[in-house]
Amino acid sequence: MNGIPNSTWQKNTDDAVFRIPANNSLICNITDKVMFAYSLRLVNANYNGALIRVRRSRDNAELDIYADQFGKLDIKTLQDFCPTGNAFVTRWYDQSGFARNAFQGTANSQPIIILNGVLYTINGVPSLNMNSNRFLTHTTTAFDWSMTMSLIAVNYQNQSGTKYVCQFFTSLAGSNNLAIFTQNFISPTGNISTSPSFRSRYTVNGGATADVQAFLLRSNPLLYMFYWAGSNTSNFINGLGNGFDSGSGSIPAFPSSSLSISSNILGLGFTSELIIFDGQIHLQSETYINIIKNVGKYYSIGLPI
Amino acid sequence: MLENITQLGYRFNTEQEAKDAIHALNVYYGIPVSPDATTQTWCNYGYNNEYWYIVWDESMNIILAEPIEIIIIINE
Repeated sequence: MNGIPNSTWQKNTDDAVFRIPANNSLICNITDKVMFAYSLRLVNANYNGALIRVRRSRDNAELDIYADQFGKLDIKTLQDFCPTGNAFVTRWYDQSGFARNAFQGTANSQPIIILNGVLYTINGVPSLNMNSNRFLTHTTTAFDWSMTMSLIAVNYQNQSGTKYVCQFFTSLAGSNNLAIFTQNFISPTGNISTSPSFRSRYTVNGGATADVQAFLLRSNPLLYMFYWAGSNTSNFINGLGNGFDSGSGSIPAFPSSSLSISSNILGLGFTSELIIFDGQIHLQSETYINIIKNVGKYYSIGLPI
Repeated sequence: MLENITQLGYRFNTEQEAKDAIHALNVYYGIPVSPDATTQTWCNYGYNNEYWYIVWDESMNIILAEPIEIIIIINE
């Protein structure tokens, strides 16, 4: 697709690449390595690029939107660019230092950030409407499934059913993709209207699927912290190991083709942030607590620690 | 796992018909605005082993008229 660079998913081994903002008000004290960092706020003090690129419905013109002096999305520039009509996100820039930017070149699949001149917000901060098959993709050429990775996502599910937070598409496609998704419906008031669950799924190279059930935090929007331990077939969510329903065998290393934020069919309601780390974030570790505090505070999420 | 989902959309007997429909939408909405723009098409099409289809949204009504129910296949 036009404008989408290929890259190899690598571990960020240079501590200088990813640094917390000086005032430490926006991002947690991350000591783990960051592989992907998509957010509508500045989460890396060393990053000075745009946060997103938007397309306005009036004339389809596109514009990069940066962070303001406080590290938040420059809403004034965004609204000046699109005072009426709709604005869609065509690019979600990666702040990890690897420029693993996510793109969407198809108009009616682009996440919505302004609808009829009104900015989408969740708990007072900007968010992207991913409903109706809207998603963004980062194309890559290689991915090592033996890696242990952790994922933080700030999402709000406002539709029932299975909804994808993100999905790692492998070159084998279909059932060999790793999908991280929710399966319940959270009402606008934050009440859980069906039995709570959070489930990740992957299929071991053509074999049985492996599922994870986990608890949901009593927050709205939800904050997910999830990690999988590669070939150890061990997954944890919010620091708790919940075990597999049917995880057997190991995940083989095979090349992947892309990371999809949300999904083309099973898109998740609203997404504000998705950060993927190299390595495991342990429950009650300093990193874990800092993440909970920082993300919880910024997004006004009441979180148990 | 493959799953059939019923959605509103447009059905085409040939791939070329689907491409022509998308071309009409692109022309109407002025997509792309330039060769290097990120946004290169208004929508995409799919195939469900029986016919070609475009999934509906209301922006398409003015060009493609009223949608019908179609079956799409997804990997769930």
